[in-house]
Amino acid sequence: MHDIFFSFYGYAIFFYATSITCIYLTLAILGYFNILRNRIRYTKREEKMLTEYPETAPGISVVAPAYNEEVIVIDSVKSLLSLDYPNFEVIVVNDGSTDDTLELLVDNFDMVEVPYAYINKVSCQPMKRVFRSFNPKYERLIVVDKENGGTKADAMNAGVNVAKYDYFINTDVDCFLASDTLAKVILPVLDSDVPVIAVGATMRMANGCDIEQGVITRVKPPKQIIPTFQETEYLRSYLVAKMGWSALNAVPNVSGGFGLFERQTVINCGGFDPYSHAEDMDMTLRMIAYKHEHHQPYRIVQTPFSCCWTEGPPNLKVLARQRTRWGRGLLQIFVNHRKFLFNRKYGRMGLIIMPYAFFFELLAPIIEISGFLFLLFQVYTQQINPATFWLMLLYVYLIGISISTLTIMFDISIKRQYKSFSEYLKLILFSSFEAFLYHPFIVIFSLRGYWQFMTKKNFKWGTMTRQGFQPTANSEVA
Amino acid sequence: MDLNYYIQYYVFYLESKFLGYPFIIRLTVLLISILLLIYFFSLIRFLAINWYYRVNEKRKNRIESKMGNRINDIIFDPYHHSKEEIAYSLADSIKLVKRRRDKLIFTDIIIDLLSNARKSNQTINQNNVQTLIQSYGIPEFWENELKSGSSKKRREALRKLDDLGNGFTGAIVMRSVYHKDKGLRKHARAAVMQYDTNDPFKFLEESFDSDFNALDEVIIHHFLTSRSKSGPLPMLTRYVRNSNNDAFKAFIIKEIGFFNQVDSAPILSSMLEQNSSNAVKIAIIETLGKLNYGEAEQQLIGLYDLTNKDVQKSIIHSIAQFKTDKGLEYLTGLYMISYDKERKIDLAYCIQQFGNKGNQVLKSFATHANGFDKKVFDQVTYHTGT
Repeated sequence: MHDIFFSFYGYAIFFYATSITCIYLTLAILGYFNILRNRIRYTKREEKMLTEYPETAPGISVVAPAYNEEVIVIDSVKSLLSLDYPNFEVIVVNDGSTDDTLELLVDNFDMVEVPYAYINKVSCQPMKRVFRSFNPKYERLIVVDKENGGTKADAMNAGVNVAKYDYFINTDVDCFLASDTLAKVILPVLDSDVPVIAVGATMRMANGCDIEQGVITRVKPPKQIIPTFQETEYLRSYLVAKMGWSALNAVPNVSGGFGLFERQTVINCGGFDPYSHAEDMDMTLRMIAYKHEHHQPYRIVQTPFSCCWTEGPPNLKVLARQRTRWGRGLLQIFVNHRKFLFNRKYGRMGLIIMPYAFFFELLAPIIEISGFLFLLFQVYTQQINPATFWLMLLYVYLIGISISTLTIMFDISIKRQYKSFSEYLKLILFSSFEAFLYHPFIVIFSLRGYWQFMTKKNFKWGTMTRQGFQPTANSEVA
Repeated sequence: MDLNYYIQYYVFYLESKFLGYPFIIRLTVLLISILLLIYFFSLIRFLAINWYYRVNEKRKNRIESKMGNRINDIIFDPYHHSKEEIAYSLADSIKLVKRRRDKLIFTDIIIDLLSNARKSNQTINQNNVQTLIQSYGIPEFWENELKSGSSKKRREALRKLDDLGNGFTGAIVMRSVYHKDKGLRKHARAAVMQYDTNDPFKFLEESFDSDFNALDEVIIHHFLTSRSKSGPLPMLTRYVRNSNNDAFKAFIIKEIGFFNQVDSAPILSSMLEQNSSNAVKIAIIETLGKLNYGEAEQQLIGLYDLTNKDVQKSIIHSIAQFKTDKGLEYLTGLYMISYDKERKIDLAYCIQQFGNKGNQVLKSFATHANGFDKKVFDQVTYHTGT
């Protein structure tokens, strides 16, 4: 009986890994053609037309919630205000910060409290005040001061309530956007016969970049170990997985770090869920569900261009917090939205997105850890065949490294972000060690997140250590 | 040696080596081989792309260092240089721009210079630019690319020629206007409007393209604007009448407003009742407002209660542009009975556009208002500085 079980389990693990390989290779092929298509369709010429003819450029509200972000808030807002696009506003939501975030904003951007007829279109904690600048240089900036809601989703909702344009960007104050970001993300919206309800773009690590006055002057790979691993991980997720899914109009998640959303659909869906630990995926799924339930056509698009740089976890402690939260969020998604799973009524979401996320994202850490324990057991009981065992190890190792190298090739084919060849080599080198030095931690932290969700433990919003981008700045914020 | 030979050799080698092994192991060997191929392919391609960038960068630097200053002098010199003068002053560098890649780089250098000059409001001598690029055979090069079999190359050529401001002949563009690649086809059709001398607006008669979207609007707007600089555009209403595509109709109607074709207003007004599409209705109403066609005010007021929220919003904004007493009275009445908060804010801003009379109305609201209405008034008056 045991033999049958072990044999079955061994086969199951093998075919699971093979399925992931096949899916990833399919996504890579789809992603590659999607990248090519994007490169041919959307060039500087089209972006320039939007700037030359402001009357043709749809307005975009950039919403960035801030909670105790005094270390980086000024640089970040300067970066947002320097975007090269004719019609946009920047809404910074001060989510009841207990540090000097609001005071710094008011002082640095010449802001004064203004009367504002606030409408609570989506639910959030009460809004206290709205500030605008009396300096024409900062006329695009609006600061919303609200009571702390405890989550980014709650602050985002306040921003959505104030946003005046049809599309808004959901980003974080610790994110730095490329100056041509808005033109890049609005072009796929314009170039579609079907309404586009959300657009995602490639995010990267800001940790190693040179930043002056909130603007990235030189893109470099991170100096620290963990953000370097994360850089490749992000690229893999955006350029292979999401670009591939985008070709099928089946993007499962528009990232919370950076994403363009259609405001009215978000409002119709009730806004971001303040109780969700993965508010970005939750929002994306609810928007898709809304469109299906109302029989309205839609598209969610992923653009391959690097638009957003964010500060990645600099050490294992912060990475643990981030990934534990993501783990909690993922499990919560399946608990809250279980009705979508295998439900034909929800089209691709019910039959492709959710099953994929269930088997290859939610179950992956469980299968990986159980597979590892199973392997240890087999080693201990001497059931390993050394003549073929190395083949299996090589196979598993190659899945990761080949997809990572493919991703780096995709990235350089879109645009050479790093100046020197050695900087790209660093990414390739790190991806060779990812399977041993980085991935095991991700599995452990995800499982911890599942455990916390099931035991209702530690549901506090994860904290992030901001290092800031000024040489002297360093502080711990929640 | 033949590559096929090597591939066959290793396939047979692996097959014989793992012949007696279970299916799973043989499958694993196959998968490993595929992944290894992907890995090495990616590495080689990565190196090749990197090499391509480096070579391009070097060539660009070489061209810029040897020719940059002289090109600058020619482009910004108010004196018109002849082709012979330019050829003489750049005689030593002609060979630098001979190959395809060099021409691509040279084109980008010129486009960057033109773009930067426009940004910093420097005066460019367009005559010298054209003579300069002709000296290096750049227009011929891109016109040849326009004849290429690759739709990617053709599209790039259209963009570059447009960026260079070079009036290429309509006949070359015509080769792409029925291409199966819809991106290229639409771009070429839009370019015809600027460059064709025979029948430039041919595709507006045909609703531009069966697959019409907002990006096409941007591109057509660009070419229409460029065309309008060289002379008045035809009355665009005829293209609205001929079209069955609502998105296209709405776009052309907005362009009528943008190009201020005032004579079209009565025709648009008559179209309002005939169209069932909300997008077209909104475009007509907004354009009537933009053209300040006050005669349509009563018609818009009559339409208000029969339409959806988006059309109502455009009606309010248009009435505000007519600035008549009747309009003010109507908007005031709407404000009083409106229960939609967003609509109230909209109405308040529109009332404020009536100047002193509007401000008086808002003040009278404010004295009796409390709560939200008071905030609306405060917001509008603060925002407009009244």
